[in-house]
Amino acid sequence: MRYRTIKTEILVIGAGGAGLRAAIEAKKSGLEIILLGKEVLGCAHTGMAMGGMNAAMVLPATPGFHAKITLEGGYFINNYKLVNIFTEEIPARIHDLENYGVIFDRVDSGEFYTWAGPKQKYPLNICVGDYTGREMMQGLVDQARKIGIKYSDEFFISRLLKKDNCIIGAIGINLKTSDFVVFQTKAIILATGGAGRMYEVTTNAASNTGDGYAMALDVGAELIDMEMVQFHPTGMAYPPSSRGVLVTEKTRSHGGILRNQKGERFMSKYYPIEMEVAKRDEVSRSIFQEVAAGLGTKNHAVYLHVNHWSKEKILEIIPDVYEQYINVGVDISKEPMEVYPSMHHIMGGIKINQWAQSNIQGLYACCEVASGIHGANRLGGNSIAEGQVFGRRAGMDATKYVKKIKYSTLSRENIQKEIARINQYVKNTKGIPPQEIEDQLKKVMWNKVGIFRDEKRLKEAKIIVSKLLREAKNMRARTNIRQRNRDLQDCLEVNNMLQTAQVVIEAALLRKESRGAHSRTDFPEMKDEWEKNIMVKKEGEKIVTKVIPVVK
Amino acid sequence: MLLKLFPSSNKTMKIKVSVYRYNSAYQSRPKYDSFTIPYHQGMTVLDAILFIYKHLDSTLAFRYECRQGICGTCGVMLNRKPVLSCSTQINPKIKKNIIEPLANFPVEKDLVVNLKPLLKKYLKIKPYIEKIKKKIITKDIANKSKPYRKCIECGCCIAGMEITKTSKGCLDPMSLVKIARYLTDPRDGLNRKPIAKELGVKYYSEEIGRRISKSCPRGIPIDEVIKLVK
Repeated sequence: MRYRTIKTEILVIGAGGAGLRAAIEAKKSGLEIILLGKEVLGCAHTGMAMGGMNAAMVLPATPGFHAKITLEGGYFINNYKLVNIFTEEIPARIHDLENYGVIFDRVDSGEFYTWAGPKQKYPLNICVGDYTGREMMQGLVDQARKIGIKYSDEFFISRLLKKDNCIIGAIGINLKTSDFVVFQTKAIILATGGAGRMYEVTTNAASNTGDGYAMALDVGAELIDMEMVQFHPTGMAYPPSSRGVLVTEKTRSHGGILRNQKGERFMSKYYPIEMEVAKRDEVSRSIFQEVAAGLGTKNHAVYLHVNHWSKEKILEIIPDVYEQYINVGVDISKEPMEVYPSMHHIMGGIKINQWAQSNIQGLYACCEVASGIHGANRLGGNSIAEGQVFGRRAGMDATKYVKKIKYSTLSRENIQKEIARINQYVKNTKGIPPQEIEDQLKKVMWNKVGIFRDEKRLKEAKIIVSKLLREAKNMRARTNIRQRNRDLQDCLEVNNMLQTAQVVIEAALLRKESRGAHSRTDFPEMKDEWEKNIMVKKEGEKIVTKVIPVVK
Repeated sequence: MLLKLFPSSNKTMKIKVSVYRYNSAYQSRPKYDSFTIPYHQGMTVLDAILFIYKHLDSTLAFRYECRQGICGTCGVMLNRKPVLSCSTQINPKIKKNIIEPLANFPVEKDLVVNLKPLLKKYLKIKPYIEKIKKKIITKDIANKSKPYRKCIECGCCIAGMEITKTSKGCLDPMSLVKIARYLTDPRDGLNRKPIAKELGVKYYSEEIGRRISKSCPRGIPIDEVIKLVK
């Protein structure tokens, strides 16, 4: 099978906020770099971030305070070193973004407009309306165009290539044509985001299929905290096409009120002090329990009211939420929204150090595909912020690293093996279409690896996912068309979601306590001896786990 | 099966959609395929497309990402009007809903358009902040450019304009919005009006702008844009 080989010093995989930031930084060195994304440039999941991002821009908030609440919010299994770097550096990254064109909302004096998310005694959230992520993406894309970053969008990397313990290349297909391309490279920065699509209900974009986790596991990278899956308390519950779509935390933080079907402000039962602005894991559990107790609406949801606000306030604070509901026939200035938790973020990921290096030489990871900043629960506003800090750091360090090493020769055999794996999906005439496996996976993850977990259901999930993994070996793309073969893409993505699901379940089974986003009904207490991280990696086909101390 | 997919549709009301098909790799003759699909209340254009792809034709090419109306990748023509497919509902009362790729773009395959020529042109207006001046930004200043900063580069405005002989090849509305965005940003040091003039802003009137505005899913006032840029 023919393929094209492209040589580049640094390959950045993923063109969301972190990938773009890494590319912008790496480009400064003048080295040859290429940025790849699965979607059209600018359309990545980062753009879906609504409410804001955290940075100590306005006193009395300080980086120290930001670090303190990030650690508390993460139930103390965050990497303290990374948290401190993150909170110290993010204010400078905000100024970078403004230099790329972004304008964060201001107050009359010219100071940043800030609002207080959960735990924020001093407000840290800066924003652009309720479409902060989109404006941030626009700034980053503008900057990438300005400095002429080479990119290829609608491109899928399916496997990383390594020799000894070093990254030497990657292989993938152009989604427009199904042509194979091999990259010979000295360093790879993974910024591939999360894996929301493996859950039935998610806030995530369609591209979030755990590609980075799967590819990193494949080359022997260590991942931590994979059991920590965040459910955002408020996703749209109705109609079916909008199920899971994000309703920003900014809504509750500005006085949005949650009520059950009887009209009771039920948060008073669970968190009477914090009420609606309790942490995400806390509010998600409360809504889950309320609906499970039969106090939900007929759409299996609770109400979120802003209809006591003035319409001007709604249009200023949450214009896109207003629009989202208008599109489905609900005027939130007159009636309440129906909301239910929606899978939102994976706190776990590739274990990195302060320069975003993984345990594989030349393999960097930043933002959601990496781990360590958020511990067991992420504070709203910390994700798109994190990507700016560690995207830049990955870009900086990768440029230093690649200057020291030479290109390695790629093994033709390994390349042909991967090409054969991909072609097999198209050649298979029997076997299951990827969508069928995906639907089953989504159900298992939502029902058995969700907000509340227990050993029995996790074990059932493990068995089902293993079965799906076996079946996935014979997945079949329903068409062999080369132009825009979405089925082929689905096959590759479903495989990556399954690999990700497998390690999430493995880690969730091992953590026999409840902490943050990981709630075990059979182990409801948080235990001191579990103030640890769970590391997972693959040795051949086998998953190996290890409990390791938190980096302080 | 259908009930599982669309739990709200107890009665399986059916609707007809007609979808544009073309493959630029073969320069095939463009055609329309008709599909009968189950309707459910609140069904979006994207739901219809996904149903067809999943159950009726796996070769259908289309783009989508966010389902939130914010990524800007899923623009199509619904009954000859540009829309974001994820945030636009299908009207079941129409006998046959027609779904086509965005107008005024070269089609790559089916509902996927080729964005390359547009982006190449776009670079001519320098769609980024240049010669940055240090300025304090107050709420008032930030709000001046805010309406134009809402652009998500979805291309609906381009698909929604009438292209005549005189306007062919001249500046597109998406570029105009970007110029307006930087004209209202006091930090930008580039003299942008001459660029707009050179590229043919004269074709636009505020009236044309008002008409194009109707295609913008972000509600950007393109008539205001034209007033500013001229």
